[in-house]
Amino acid sequence: MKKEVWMVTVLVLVATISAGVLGFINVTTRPIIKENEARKLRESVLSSVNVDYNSDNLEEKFKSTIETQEIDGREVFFHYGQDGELQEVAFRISGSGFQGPIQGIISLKPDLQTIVGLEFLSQQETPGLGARITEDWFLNQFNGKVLKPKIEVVKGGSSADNEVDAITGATRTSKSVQGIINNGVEKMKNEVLTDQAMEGLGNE
Amino acid sequence: MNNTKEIFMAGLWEDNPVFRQMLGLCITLAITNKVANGVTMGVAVFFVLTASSFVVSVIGDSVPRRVRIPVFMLVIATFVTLVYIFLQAFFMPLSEALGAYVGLIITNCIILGRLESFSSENPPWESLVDAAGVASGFAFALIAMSVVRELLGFGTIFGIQVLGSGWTPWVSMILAPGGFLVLGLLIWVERAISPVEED
Repeated sequence: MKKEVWMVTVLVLVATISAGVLGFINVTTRPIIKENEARKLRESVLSSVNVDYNSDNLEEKFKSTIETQEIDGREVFFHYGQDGELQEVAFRISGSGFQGPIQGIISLKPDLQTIVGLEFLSQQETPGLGARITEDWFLNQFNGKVLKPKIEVVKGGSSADNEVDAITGATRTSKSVQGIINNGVEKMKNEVLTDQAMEGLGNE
Repeated sequence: MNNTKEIFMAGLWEDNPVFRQMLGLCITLAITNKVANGVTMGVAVFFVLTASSFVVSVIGDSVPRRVRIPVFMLVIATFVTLVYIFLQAFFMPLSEALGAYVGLIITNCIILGRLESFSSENPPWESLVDAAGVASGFAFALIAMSVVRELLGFGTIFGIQVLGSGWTPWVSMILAPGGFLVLGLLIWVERAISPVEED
C-alpha cells in the first residue's frame, strides 16, 4: 500500500511542477507571441498595398496609411491615398492547401476585381515545391491580374488578364491558391464589401 | 565508464544515434531539407536531451520503477513545450519552418532511450556528458544530411546561393526520396570510416 501511495505522490508532484513551469512561461511569453503575429499581419498588409516599410517604422507606417475596420466580425484594411481617395482594400483569405491550411492577405483596387498584391501569412506546403507560393516571382504574378470572371492558374504560359503560371510539380497547391483567392474574394464581396458598402466608402 | 571524453565520443561517433543506432529517423528524414532547420532541430534536441537527462539522473532514485516511463515523458514533454514556446516567441520564422516537428521531439526515441538506459542509472555529471555526446551526434547527423540536401536541392547553404545559376536544383533531394538516399549514403560513409566490428 505504501508503495502505491508513493507512486501516485511522485507522479502528482512531477506533473504539478511541470504544469507550474509551463504555465509561468506561457503567461510571460504570450504578449510576445501575440505581437509577433500582429507584426506579421501588418507587414503583409503593407506589402500587399505596396507601401514601403522597414522594421523600425512598421508601426508608424501602418497607422498612418492603413485604416482597419471590423465589419461583421471580419477585419478589413483600407488604404487611402494622399487625396483621401480609397486606393486599395485588403483582407484575409484562407483555405486548405495540399498539406495544410493556407492563410494570406489579398489587396484589391476599389473595383474589387483588380489584384494589387498577394501575401501569405502561413502555409505548410512541400518545401521546394508548394512552398514556392511564398516566393516573389509567384506572388508578383498576381499584381494587376483581374478576377474577371475568376483567377485561373494555368500550366505553360499564362497570357490572359486573369491567368497566372502554376508552379511545376505543385499543381495541387497552385489550384488551391486559385480556389482560395476566388472563393475568398467572392465571399467578401457578397457578405461584407457589398456594392452598397463600397459606395459609402468611396466618397470618404 | 567514467571517462568523460569516452562517454562523449561514444554518443557523437561510435554509437551515433542516427548512423549507428538508427534512431530518430523520422525527424531526420523530415526536416533535413534545409541547413537552418537541421541546426535548429539539433539545438532543440540538445537542450531537451541534456536538461531532461540531468533532471532524471537527479530524481532517478526516488522514482518508483513502475511509474518511471510516465515521469520521463512528463519531464521530456515539459522541456519540449518550453522549446516550442521559446521558438514561437523569439524565432518565429524557424518555428514556422519546423512546425509540428518540434512537438514531435517528445516522441523522439533517442531521448527516452538515453533516459531509460543511461541517465536513470548514472550520476548527474556523467548523464550530462552522455546527453551532450548523443545530442551532438544527432545534430551532426542532421547537419551533414541537410548540407547535402540543401546544396543539391536548392543550390544554397543557409539560404545563400552557393552553386551558380547554371545549377538545376534536384527537387527530389528536398523530398522524402532524397532524404532516404542521402541517409543511406551517409551511413555507408560512416561505416567505411569506422567499420562495424563483427562479433
